[in-house]
Amino acid sequence: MDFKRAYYELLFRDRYRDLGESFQDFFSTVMEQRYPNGDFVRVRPWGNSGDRKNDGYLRSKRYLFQCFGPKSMHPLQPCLAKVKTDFKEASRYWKEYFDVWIFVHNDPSGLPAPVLELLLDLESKQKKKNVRLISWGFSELKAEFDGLTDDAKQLMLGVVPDRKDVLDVRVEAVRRLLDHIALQPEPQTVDMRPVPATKLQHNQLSDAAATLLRVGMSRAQVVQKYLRGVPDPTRYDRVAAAFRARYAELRAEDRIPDDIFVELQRFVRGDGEASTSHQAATLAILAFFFEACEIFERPPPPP
Amino acid sequence: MILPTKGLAPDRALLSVGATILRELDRPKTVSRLWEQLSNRGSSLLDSIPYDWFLLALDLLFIVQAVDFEDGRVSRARRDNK
Repeated sequence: MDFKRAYYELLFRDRYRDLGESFQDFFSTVMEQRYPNGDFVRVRPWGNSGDRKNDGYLRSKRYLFQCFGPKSMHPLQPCLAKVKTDFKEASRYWKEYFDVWIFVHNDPSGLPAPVLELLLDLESKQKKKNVRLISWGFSELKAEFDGLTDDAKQLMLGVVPDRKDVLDVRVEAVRRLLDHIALQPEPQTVDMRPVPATKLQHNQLSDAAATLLRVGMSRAQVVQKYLRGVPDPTRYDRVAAAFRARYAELRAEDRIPDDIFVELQRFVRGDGEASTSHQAATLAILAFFFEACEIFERPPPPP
Repeated sequence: MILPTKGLAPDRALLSVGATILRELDRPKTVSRLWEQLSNRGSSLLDSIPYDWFLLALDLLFIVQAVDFEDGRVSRARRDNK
């Protein structure tokens, strides 16, 4: 996969998990860029009318959108109630204008079966107008995002490094990032086994994350050079312990591997804007600790 | 610290630094003298070891009874044949 495209894909995945109004705003921005010149219309609440259960409208296709970006789909009852209410109200206000009602959600693991069942049920029980009820999740929204120009992606998600930036990573950039990692005490025991060749595959990282890691691996030796050169001989072990601790926390939250990868990027470079050289150095650092088996899972030995 | 790890090269582990120190103890020496001689050896190992790491290696030698400390000097431990 192309490096820049891979980088944008992971940034997109991170933003996709935005919550509430932030998610709706993100969705609207993607759609406005994808269907410009007033084709997609961003809708906002207006006085007592509210938004009349319309979170966005695509004129050319007669699609009406309803966004739902909670922290979690559980418990399901509020979600099911929202689908019913929103569709009913949308039909009341907008029925002449739409043929497809789209429930847009932010759960990267997919739509819960009961919600799908409800959508199908509502669709089949319509008395007069035959509106299609569908859901859009990560893949659908990403397909729209993939249709954007590079300029539009940059406008939305910021400047990202390219492959050359990673090849230009030097010790200084690595030092500036790793010096901010809060050091953990040295561990009592250390796993000294070499990294298995199938580790990348075993961890079910997406093509995008795997691409970024592979490119990062080309500069992992810069990280090693830095860590071996620091006066404190315990530095490597204490930084590695910090990465292991953060990885363990993320794993305990049941996140998918790509989300863990994005959070680890954030762990290294911090929140907020980062220069392309810091973003590139972050990849070298993650690739180094990936190869050193301090983050992500080690595959089981062959039988 | 004592043994090598993924991040601690074998020549920087306390065990190895301790062995290097023992080699310098042909006769009793003060800690400062020992450090000065080791630093001036021009060894690339000791170029990269900080002073407190050197002290930890000395502590290790003392704990395993490989060195004695008497009259302000470090010396190889005497082995009494019983």
